[in-house]
Amino acid sequence: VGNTLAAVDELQVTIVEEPEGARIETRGDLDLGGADALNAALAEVEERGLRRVTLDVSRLDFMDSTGLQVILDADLRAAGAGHELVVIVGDGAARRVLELADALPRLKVATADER
Amino acid sequence: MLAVVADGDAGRADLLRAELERHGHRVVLAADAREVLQAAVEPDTLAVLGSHLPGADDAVALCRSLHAGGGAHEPVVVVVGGRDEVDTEAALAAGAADVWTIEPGGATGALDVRLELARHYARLQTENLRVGGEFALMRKALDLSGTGFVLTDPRLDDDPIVYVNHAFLEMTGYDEREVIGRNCRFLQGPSTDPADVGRIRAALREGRPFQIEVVNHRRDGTPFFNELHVAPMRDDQGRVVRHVGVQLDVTAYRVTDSLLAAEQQARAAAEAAERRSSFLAAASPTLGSHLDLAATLESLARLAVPFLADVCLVETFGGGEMRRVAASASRPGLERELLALPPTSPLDPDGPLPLARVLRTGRAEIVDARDGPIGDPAVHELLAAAGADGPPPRWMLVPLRARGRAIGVVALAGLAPERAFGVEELALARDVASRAALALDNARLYEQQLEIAGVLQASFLPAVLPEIAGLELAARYRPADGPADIGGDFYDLLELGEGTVALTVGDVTGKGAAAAALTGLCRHTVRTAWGYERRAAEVLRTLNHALVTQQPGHSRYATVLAATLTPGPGGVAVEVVCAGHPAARVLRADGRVEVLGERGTILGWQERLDLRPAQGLLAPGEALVVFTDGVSSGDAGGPLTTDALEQELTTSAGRDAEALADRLEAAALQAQEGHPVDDVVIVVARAAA
Repeated sequence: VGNTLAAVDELQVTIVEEPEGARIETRGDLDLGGADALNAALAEVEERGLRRVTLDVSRLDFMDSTGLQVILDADLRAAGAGHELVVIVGDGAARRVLELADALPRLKVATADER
Repeated sequence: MLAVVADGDAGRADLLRAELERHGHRVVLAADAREVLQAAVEPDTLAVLGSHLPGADDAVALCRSLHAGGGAHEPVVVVVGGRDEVDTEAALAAGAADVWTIEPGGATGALDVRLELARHYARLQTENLRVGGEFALMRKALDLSGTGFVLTDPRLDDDPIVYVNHAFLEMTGYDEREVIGRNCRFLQGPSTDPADVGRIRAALREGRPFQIEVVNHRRDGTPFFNELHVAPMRDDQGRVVRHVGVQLDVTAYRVTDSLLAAEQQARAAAEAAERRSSFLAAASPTLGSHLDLAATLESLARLAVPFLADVCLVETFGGGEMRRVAASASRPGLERELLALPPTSPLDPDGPLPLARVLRTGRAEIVDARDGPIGDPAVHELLAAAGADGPPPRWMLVPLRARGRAIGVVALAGLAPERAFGVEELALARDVASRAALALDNARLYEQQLEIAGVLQASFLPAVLPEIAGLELAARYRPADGPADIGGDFYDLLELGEGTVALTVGDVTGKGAAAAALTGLCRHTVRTAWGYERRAAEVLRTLNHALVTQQPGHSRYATVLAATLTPGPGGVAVEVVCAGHPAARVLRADGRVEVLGERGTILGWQERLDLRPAQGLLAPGEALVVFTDGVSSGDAGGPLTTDALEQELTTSAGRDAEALADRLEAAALQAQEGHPVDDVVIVVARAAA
């Protein structure tokens, strides 16, 4: 059970503590209106210097290229800072966008079961 | 109290009389020195002597005579003359309290006379204090004149009042004990313009003298127009030790009819809050619902009528002419006539017309229409005719201020006899004006933005499509709704030589200026890359390299489809490479639709790319269709699903490239109910049938 950081527009972002890191769960729409909230949550978690950051986008109802940008930026920051970014993709809106960008083969993707 | 004016210049004498009467004096015009001496027998007389007296008498000599008796009831003497006309030193030595510089023959206007009086009060008071003199003499003169006078001490905490004169107390309705030791800001109130307060603060901080007209409030809450003159007084070290404030209540002047003003002020206090709030309540939703400038200004003009005035005109100034951007009248016939007039009329900004004056001074005015047109003579004639059966119309002119200058005027005319322009009306007119100015300024900014967006957008697209034998090319570009939002889509069609055409369609992530900059970078990098690369994959690698070296944290990803088309004897050979972009479609002659393009890595993320070129051949009449996600993201998502896209193309089989592009654009827009949320780009390349 985590603390809900923000509910901006229709994106709900929750940070959940995990043994070796933190997991950010998202629900609703990840578009221009939600990008700031997700970026803020990512920044907060990244500041802690954890080994692993898990981003769960499997339960999004909608994601556009703004959301793609947030995920790719997070991936670049992880590579730069030396922590692991794991993305739980699921079979919803996020998968379609990540597939089109051909990003799935290069992201550390976990299935929803590993959550 | 009595003021005796003796001036050989009759025009100037009249100006002086008017001004002194406005200050509350009983004024007598003296025909010669003897009449001045006789009048001055009355205690506390103010004697105003022209440098050239009627008859042959000398003003300085008369000044001396007036002070010959000495004693408490000596008159206060002021000598008046044009520049260099009066020997100031001699006049002061002879006992004159002041010298006013007012040109003969009415060359100085009434307003300037007033300012001259106020300036001199302030200056002389400062001088008196500087030399450590008693200011009893000036104090008497100021009390006589109805001019408020305040001294504050900036060395003390919060610059408190250390002296006020009687006229100040009368003007403001306060008791002396209530104001001494307080900062002057207690005069501010709901009708005070915060911008004016800011100007006063700035001038005080910078230690420079200034004059300003502000709306202040009396003790009972009634507003009044305060023409404030403030001068800093410095000691020998240059430190400001006093602020000298001279205040003129110019409400009577502003309100034209002082009886009306008195009556109005009594009820204004009670009604002000209610009227103001109901007006603003009416104004806000109307204004909020219009983005369109003309509609906004028209609703403003409409709100003012008949609430504030019988006629309301909103006029902007530019390029030597006034432009009427909105007009409204309480009589429908008059409004029709006003709207039928040509909207522009020339105006000399340095000329004498009231509109020019309000633009220059940036100050509101009430003028009598009998004095002539305020600007456009055609409007004057209309109103003169409209007011023929009643009293002549009056105008209340309020400047439209934006970015610290007057860009136009709101002109309100009263036609009905019971119509009065008072302090309250002026305050409301200022509300109207500030809203109109805001709307105008926003519109200007929006237009500027629109222009920038247009120029930028045009730079994302080729000016003309290449003409290649055996190939029909068509392109459509429709930015997402909100024209000032610069889109992130681009396309390009280039002839590479030997009949080969390069086709590029792309979409950068993000929105706004950063995305626009990236779009520009993409298009120009692609165009340059096609200059030395013949393979689409290599062009995409070049672009990717340019993008990944961008600053991180900014928008920097792009999905791009690059293709080459080479017409040959067997048809048009096509190679398509997608980088995170929806695949192209090939529309076959029989209406079948095939996908052309393999999934490839989005650009700007990693240096290494997985790109898989796909080849195809277009037989005559067959077409390659490329698009961005404003048309379809190439999956079950919108705007056109894969199936809908295929169906749309199938039913368009056999049509030429232009018709194909038209139909696909219409379908994409229809799927978004005519308001695309994403840019729509469509490029069609068809092998000639």
